[in-house]
Amino acid sequence: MSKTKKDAIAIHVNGVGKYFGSEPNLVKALDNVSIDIRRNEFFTLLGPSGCGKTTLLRLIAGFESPTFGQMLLDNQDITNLPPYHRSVNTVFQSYALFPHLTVAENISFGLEMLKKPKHEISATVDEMLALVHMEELKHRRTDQISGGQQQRVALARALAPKPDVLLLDEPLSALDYKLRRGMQIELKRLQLETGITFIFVTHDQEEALTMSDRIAVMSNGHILQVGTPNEIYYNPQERFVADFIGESNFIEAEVVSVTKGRPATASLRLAGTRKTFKANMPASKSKDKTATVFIRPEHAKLQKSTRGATLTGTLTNMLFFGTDTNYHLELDNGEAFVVRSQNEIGHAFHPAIGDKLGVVIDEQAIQVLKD
Amino acid sequence: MLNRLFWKKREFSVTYQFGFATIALICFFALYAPITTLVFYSFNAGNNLMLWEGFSFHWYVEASKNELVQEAAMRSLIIAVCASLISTLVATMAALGTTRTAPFKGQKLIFIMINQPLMVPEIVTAVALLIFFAIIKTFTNYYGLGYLITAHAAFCVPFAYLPIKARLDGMDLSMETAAGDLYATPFVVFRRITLPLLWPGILAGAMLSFVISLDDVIITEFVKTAGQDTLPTYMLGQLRRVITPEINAISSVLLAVSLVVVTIFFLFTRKRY
Ligand SMILES: Nc1ncnc2c1ncn2[C@@H]1O[C@H](COP(=O)(O)OP(=O)(O)OP(=O)(O)O)[C@@H](O)[C@H]1O
Ligand SMILES: [Mg+2]
Repeated sequence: MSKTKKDAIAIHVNGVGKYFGSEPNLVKALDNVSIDIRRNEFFTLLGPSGCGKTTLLRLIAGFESPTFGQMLLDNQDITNLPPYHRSVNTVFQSYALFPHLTVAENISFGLEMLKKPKHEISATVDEMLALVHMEELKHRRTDQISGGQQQRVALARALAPKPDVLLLDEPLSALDYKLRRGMQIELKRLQLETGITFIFVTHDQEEALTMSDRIAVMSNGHILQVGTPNEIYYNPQERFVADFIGESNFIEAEVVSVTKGRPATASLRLAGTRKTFKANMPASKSKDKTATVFIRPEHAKLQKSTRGATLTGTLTNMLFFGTDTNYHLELDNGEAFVVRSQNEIGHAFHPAIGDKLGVVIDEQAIQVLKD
Repeated sequence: MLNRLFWKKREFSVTYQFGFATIALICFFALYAPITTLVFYSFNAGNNLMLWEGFSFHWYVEASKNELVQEAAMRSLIIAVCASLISTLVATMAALGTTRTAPFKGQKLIFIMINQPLMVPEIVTAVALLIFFAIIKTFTNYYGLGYLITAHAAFCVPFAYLPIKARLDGMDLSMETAAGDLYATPFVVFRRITLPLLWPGILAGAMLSFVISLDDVIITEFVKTAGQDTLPTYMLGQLRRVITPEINAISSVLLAVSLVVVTIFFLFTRKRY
C-alpha cells in the first residue's frame, strides 16, 4: 500500500450535530463534531456513558441523519445515503442478531445481500466461524447461545462482507478476560491484514490505549481531544481527558511570569512552594494568574527526606497493586497527591502512614491544562 | 394445575392466601359447568334438553343432515375465512404503519380510531351498518354475501390489530437496522426479517378474527338479507321455535372448531423468538 493511500481520509466528519427531541427536552447527543479518520486506521472513541459514542457510530452507519453537518466516506458525500448503500458494517452494542436464523445464516446474511456466489459465501462463513471460534455452534439458533458467543457472532456477521469501514460498539464487553485478550489480538491482526478502517467504541481505557492508532476522547456530545495513545496519555489538553485516562494529580499553581513564544512558556509555583518551574502554557491561559497543572502519579518520586523535595506532605494511605504501590499524601497546603512507584525487591524505603515525606517532580512531568 | 394450587406450599405465593383455592374453583365452575352441561346433553338420545335418555350421536347426525344447518355452516366458514384474511391484512398494514415509521402527528389518534370499534356498542355498529348497506343496496341492487364479509372484516380489524401490534412493539427495531446495515433494502428487510418475526402475531390476529367472526350474532342479524343465516343466527332463530339437543350438537361443534383453532395457534407460536 502506498503512503498516500494509507494516509488518505476514510471518514470525514464535518461540523456534525445530532439533536433529539425538542425544547424543553432537547438532547444534544452530538454538538458540532469534526474528525478525520484515516484509511486502515484503528480509531477509538472513548468516553463516559451517554457522551454520544453510539450516536456518532449510528450517523456514520446511516441509521440516523445528522441534524446539521456533513459526512464523507472516501471523499463521497454520504450524509443522506441510506445504510444499505454504504460499505460500512456495524457490530451492535446490543448484538441485534436475527433470532430466527442460525449462527451460519446470520453470518452469511450480508454476503447474500451482496449477491456473492454460493461457494464464496460458504467459504467466507467458515473462515469467519473459525476466526471467532464458533465452528461447533454453526447450526444453533442465536437465541440458544450465550451472551459472549452472541457477541462473537455479531462480530463475524459484520466482518464477513469485508466492508471499507467497520464500526464496533463495545464489541468485547461481554467476554471474559482471556477471550477478550485473544479477541483484541485477533481484531488488531484483522485490521492490519484486511485494510479495513476500524472505528471502535469502548469504556475500557486500557483496551483503548493498547489497541488504537488514535483515540478521540468524548464528553457530553463533544470531542475534547484526538491523538495517539501516547499523546492522550502524556499530553492531555484538558482536565477531563487527564482524569478519564489513567490516574492524575491536579494541583493549583501560581503563574509568576509568561514568556511569549510558540508555544508560550510560563514560570510556575506549585501549591504554595517557593521553587519555580517552567512549563508550556496554552494560548488561552496566557493572561491568567493561576493555572491547574497535571502530574501523573508515576512521574513523581517519593523520598524520605523533605530536603530538596518539590512538594512535601504526610502519608495518609498506601494501596498495594502487586507491581506498584500508590502512596496517598496530604500536601502541606491540604491538597491530596498520589505517587505511584514500582515495587522492587529489597526495597530499602518503607514509609509508614503518618510519615512526613518529600515528593520530587521532574520539570518535564508538569503540564498546564487548558481549563 | 390443581396440584400446583394445593401442594406447592413451600414458597410464598398468593395461592396460599385464605380462600384462594375456593375462589379459583368457583370461577372455574362458573366458567365450565354450563359448557360441560351443554356438551353433555348434545349426546342425549331423547329430544329433551334436561332429561337424560341415554347416549347417542343422534343429534349430530340430525344436524349434519339438516340442509339449513349445512348452508349456514358453509356461509359461516366462507365469511369467517374471508373476513379474517381481509382484516388481518388491513391490521398488519395498520400495525406496521403505527410502529415502524418515524413518529408522526396524529399517530395516537389513528391508534385510537383503529381500536374504537372495541368500545362502540355492537348494536350501534349493527344499526349503522344496516342503514348504510340499505342505501348501497338500493343503488347497486347487489344482495350477496359481500355485505356480511365487509361488515365482519371491519369489526375484526381491531381484534387482528392488537396481537400484531403487541408483537411489533416487543420486536426490537435493531434487528431491522442490522439487516439494513448488511445491505438489505427496506423491502428485503421486511421480507427476510420483519415478516418472519412478525408471523406469530399475524397468525394470532388471523385466528382471533376468525373465531370472532364465526360466532358473531348481532351485526350478522342486522346486516344479513333473507336466507343468509350463519350458524349463530340460525341457532338464534331455532331458539324461538322448538328447542332440541340439535342446538347443543351445533354449539359443541362450534366449540370444537374454536378449540382446534386455539390449539393450532399454540402449536404454531410455541417456538419463541
Ligand atoms: N433516540 C434518542 N432519543 C433521545 N435521546 C437519545 C436518543 N439516543 C440517544 N439519546 C441521548 O443521547 C446521548 C448520547 O447517547 P449515546 O447512545 O450516543 O451514548 P453512548 O456514548 O453510546 O453511551 P454508552 O457508553 O452508555 O453506550 C444520551 O444522553 C442519550 O440519552
Ligand atoms: Mg453506546
